[in-house]
Amino acid sequence: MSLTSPYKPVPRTPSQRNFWSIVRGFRWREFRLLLAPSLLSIVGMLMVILVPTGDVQWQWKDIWMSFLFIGLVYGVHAWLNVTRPNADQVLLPITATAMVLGLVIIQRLEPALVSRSPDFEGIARKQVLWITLGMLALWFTASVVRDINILRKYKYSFAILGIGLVAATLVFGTDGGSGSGVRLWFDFGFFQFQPSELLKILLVIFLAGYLDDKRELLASPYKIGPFKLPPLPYLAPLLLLWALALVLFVVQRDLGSAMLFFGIFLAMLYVASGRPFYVVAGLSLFFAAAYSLNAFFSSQFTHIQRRVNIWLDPWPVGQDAGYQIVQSLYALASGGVLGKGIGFGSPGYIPAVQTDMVIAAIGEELGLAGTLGVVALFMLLVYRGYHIGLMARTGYEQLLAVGLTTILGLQTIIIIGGAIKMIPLTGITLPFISYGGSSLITNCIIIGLLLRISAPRAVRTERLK
Amino acid sequence: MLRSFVRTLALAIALILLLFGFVSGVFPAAPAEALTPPNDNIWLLCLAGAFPLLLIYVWLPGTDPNAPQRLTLDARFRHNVQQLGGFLLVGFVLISLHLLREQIVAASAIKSATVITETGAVIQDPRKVPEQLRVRRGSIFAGDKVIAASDVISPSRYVHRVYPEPNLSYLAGYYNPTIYGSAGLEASFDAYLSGSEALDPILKQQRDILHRPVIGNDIRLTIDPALQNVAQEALGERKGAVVLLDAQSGAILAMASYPHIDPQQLSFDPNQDDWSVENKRIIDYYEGVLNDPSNPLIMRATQGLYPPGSTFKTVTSAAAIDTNTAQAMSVFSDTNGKVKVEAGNYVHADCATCRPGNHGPNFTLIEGYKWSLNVVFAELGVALGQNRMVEYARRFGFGTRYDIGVPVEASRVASDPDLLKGKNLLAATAYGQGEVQATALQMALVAATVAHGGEVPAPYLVASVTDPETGAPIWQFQPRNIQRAISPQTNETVKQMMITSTVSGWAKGAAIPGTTVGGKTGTAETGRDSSHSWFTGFAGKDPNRPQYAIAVVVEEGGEGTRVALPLARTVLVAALNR
Repeated sequence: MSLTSPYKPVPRTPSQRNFWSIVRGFRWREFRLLLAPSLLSIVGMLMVILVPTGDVQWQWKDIWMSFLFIGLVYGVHAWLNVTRPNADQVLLPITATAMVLGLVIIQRLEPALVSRSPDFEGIARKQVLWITLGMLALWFTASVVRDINILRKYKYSFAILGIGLVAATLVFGTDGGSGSGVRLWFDFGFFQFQPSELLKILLVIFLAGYLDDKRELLASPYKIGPFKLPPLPYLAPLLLLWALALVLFVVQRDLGSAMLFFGIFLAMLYVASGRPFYVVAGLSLFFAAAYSLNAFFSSQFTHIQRRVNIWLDPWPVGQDAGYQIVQSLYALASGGVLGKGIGFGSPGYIPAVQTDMVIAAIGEELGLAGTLGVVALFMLLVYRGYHIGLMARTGYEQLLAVGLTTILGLQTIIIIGGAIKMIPLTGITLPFISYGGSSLITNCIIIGLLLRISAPRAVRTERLK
Repeated sequence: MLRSFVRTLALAIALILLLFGFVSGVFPAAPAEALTPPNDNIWLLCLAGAFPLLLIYVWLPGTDPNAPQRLTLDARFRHNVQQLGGFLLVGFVLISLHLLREQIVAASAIKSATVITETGAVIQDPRKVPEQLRVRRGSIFAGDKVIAASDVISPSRYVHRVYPEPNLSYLAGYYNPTIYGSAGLEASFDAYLSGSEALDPILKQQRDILHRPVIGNDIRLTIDPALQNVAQEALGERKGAVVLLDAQSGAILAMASYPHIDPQQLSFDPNQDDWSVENKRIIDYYEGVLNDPSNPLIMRATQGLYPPGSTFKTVTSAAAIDTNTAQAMSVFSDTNGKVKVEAGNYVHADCATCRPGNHGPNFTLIEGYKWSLNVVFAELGVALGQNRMVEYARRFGFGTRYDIGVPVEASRVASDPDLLKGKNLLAATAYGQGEVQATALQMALVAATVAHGGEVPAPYLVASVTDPETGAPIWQFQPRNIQRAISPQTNETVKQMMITSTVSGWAKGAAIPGTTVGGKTGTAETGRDSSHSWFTGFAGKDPNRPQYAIAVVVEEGGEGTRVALPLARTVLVAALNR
C-alpha cells in the first residue's frame, strides 16, 4: 500500500522558529480563506442594521461586532502562525464562516425574538461573548495543550467525569426555564451550561483511548470452542458506558443527544474494529433495550412515538405539538432559491429559531443557496476532519480526530434533518451557527483539538526520548 | 465485474426512487385539494429506500475482496474512515435533495397549505397576512374619481386600503387580507390590482431581488361618477337598484344599489395599535351585515332577482313578432279584464288601474303593450308556446352570468323550463309574473338591445387596466355584441311599441321633450301584499340609435308609474345633459 506515512516529517522544533521561519512558513492559505468570513461579517452586519431602517446611513461603531470578530479570527490565525505553523489551514476559515453566519442571523433575529419575550434582549451580544470565549478555547486547545497524550492517559477519569456530569444534571439540572421538564442545563445565573455538550467530547476522548488500546483484540475474534465470538470482556466497559448514557438520556428525554451519542459510539467502534458485526449488534441491542425499557419508562416512549407521528404528519397538530415543524416548513418554502434576503423574511414565527431551528431562518432569508451552503460547509469540515484523522501520527490521535469529526457531522445531519422534516425533530444545536454558549465553546474545543492533532509539534523530541 | 454491475444497479434504482419521490404528493390530484399540504410519505419512503442503495454505491469500491487481513492496520483504518465518510456524505446529499424538494419543488404547495384542525384552529402561513398588507394594490377609478386606493404607511410599509366615495366605492367590492379576503372587483381583478399579472417576468425578478415593492395596476371603470351620484341619490334609502347603460356599447354608466356595504368598514387599518381590536371591529361589522335582514351583501343591481312584471312584456312581444306569432296590429279580445287559459280556478287579470275606460273589448298588441294588459299577454304567451318563450328569453340574455367583474346572478324564466308546459305558468310568464326572475342589469340590457338594433351588447364595468406610472393601458375591454336577439325589422316594431308607450301609454310620464324615449313600466306582484316598482327604457337624441338604456327597480315600491318611472326619468335627464 502506497499510503502516506502517518509520521509526517516536522522539521522545525520550537527553538528553530524565528521571525524568518514564520515568514517563510506563513499560513497564506488560511489568511486568504479568512477574508471570506471577514467580509461576510461586515456585509452581513450592515444588512442587519440597514434593512429595517431602509437607510444607508451608518457609523463604524454600528459594526463593532464585525471588527471584534475579524480581530479574533486573525488573532488566532497569527498565533497559529507562531505556534502551529503546519496545522490545517482550512478548518479555521470553515469554522469562522459558520460562526459569522450564525452571528449575523442571531443579530437579525434579536428584534423579532425580543418582541416575543424581553428575555432575548442582547442575545447577539451574548453570542459575541460566546464566540470570543470559544475562540479562546480553540486557541487554548490548539496551542497551549502541549501533549495530547494527557487525554489518553486519563481516559477513565474523563469517562467518570462525564458520567458524573450527567448524574449531576439529574439532581441539580434545570429545564432552562422552557417549562419542558427536560433537565439538561446547569443554571449559573448569567449562563446556563449544558453538560451533554461537554459529554460528547469526553465520550470521544475515552472511546479513542480505550479502542486504540484494544484495537487488535477487537478486530480479532474471540474463540470459545468452535464458536467465534467477539472479545466480550473487552467490550464490557464499552457496553456499560453506552447503557449508562442511554438510560440517562432516555430518562432525561434528550433524544437528540442520545441519537448523537449512539451514532458516535457505533461509528468509532466500526472505525476501530472494521467489523460491521459491532454495528449490527449495537443496533440490535439498542432496539432490544428500547423494547425492554418500554415497560419501565412508557411515558418516555410515548414521547418518542409522538415525535415520530409529528414528523410523519405535523399538519393536524400544527397548532400545538407540530407548530414548530409546520412553521419551519412555511419558512423554508417561502425562501425559494435565493431567499428573501437578510431582514426581509419573518423567521420570528418559528419557536427556538435561534437554536435548533436556525437552518429554517437561513432557508427563509438566504434560500436554498444558503441552506446548501451550510450543508456544503459542514461536508467540507467533515472531509478536513477525516483527512486530519488519516494523517495523524498515532492510532490514538487518528481515532480521536475521526471521533471528534463524526460528532460535528452527525450532529449537523441530525439537527438539519430534523428541522427540515426529513427525520424526527430532536433538540440539539447546529454547530457554530446556533445560539448558545455550551455548544459553541465545546465545538470550538473540538476544532482546537483537530488543529492540535493536525500539527504535531514536538514529534522529534518525543521520539528521541 | 459483478461488483461494478451491482454498484451501477444500486445507483440506478436509488436515482429512480428519488426522482419518483421528488414529485409525488406535491401536485394536488384535484383542484379542491389545492390547499392541502403536500404529502411527504412517499418521498420519505423513497429516501429510506435510496439511503442503503446509495451506501452500496459509495461503499462497494472501497472494499477489496482480496482479504482485508492482508492490509496493514493503517490501510484498514483508512478504509473504515472512508466508509464512515461515505455514510455521512450520503446523509448530506439526501439532506440537500430534501431541501431542494422543500424549497423549490413543493414550495408553492407548502406556502398555500391551509389546514383546519379538529379543534377548528386554522393553520396557515403567518406570512400571508403581513405580506398581503404590504401589497401596494392599484387604484380603482371611476371617471376622475378614485373609488379605491392604497395608502402606504411609513415606516412599516403596510398598506391601508381606502374607499373615499360613499356612492361609488362599494362597486369595488371589499379587500380584507386578515379575515374575509376580497370580493367584487377587488377579487376578480386581483391579479392586476396586486400587480402579479401583466408585469414583465424579468422586471418582476429584478424587483424581487432588489426588494422593490411591486405596485399594482390601476383599474378604470365605465361608471360616470356624476351619473352614479344622481342615481344613488335618486334611489335614496329605498331598497332597489338603478342600472344605466350606454346602449350602443354596453358600458355601465351608473349602477346604484341600496342597501349596500361600506367597504371602508371591512378594510383593515394597520395603523391601529392593537390589530386584534381592529380585527374584532371588522368581524363585528361583517357579522352585523351578514345578519342584517335587508342583505346589504347582495348587490341588488346585479344579484337581486325580482319578478320583472310588465317590463317583461317587451321580451314576449319581441318573441311573438319575431316568430310571426302576432303582429303589432294583431287583435286580442279582453272583454272584462279576466281570462282563464286552462281549465281550473286560476284567472289571469289586468291590473286594476290599467284598462282605459273607453276601449275594448278588442285590443291590438300595441295597445295591450302600452296599457299593459295582462289578459292580452296571457293569450299571447299561450299562442307563443313554451319553446319559443324560453328561446327568446335566452336570446335576450336570460340564463347568462355576465362577466363584468362583480358577482352577477343569472336571470331566468322559470326554475325549470319544462314547467312552462303548463299553460297557466306560461301565460303568467308572458306578463312577467309566474316564476320569471330578472335583475335590473338584465332588464336594462333588454331595453339596450331594443335601442341597439336587436343585438345584445355585452355589458362591461371595467373599461381598462392601466399602468400606474405611465397610465398606458395594459388591457382594454373591446365592446362587442353577445348575440342577435331579434331581427332588425322586429326590433323596429318593438322600439315603436316602447316609444308609443311613452307617448300615449302609461309610461307617458317618462317623455322628455326633444328626445326619443321608449319605456315600459312594471308593477310586479310579490305574492305578499306589495309590489316591486319597475321601469325599463331608453332615451337618446338619435331616434334610430338612442344612446341610453335604463332599468330601475324599487323593492316593494308600489306602482311602476309612480315610483320607478320618475326615478328613471331623473337619471335619464342627467345622462342626456352630461
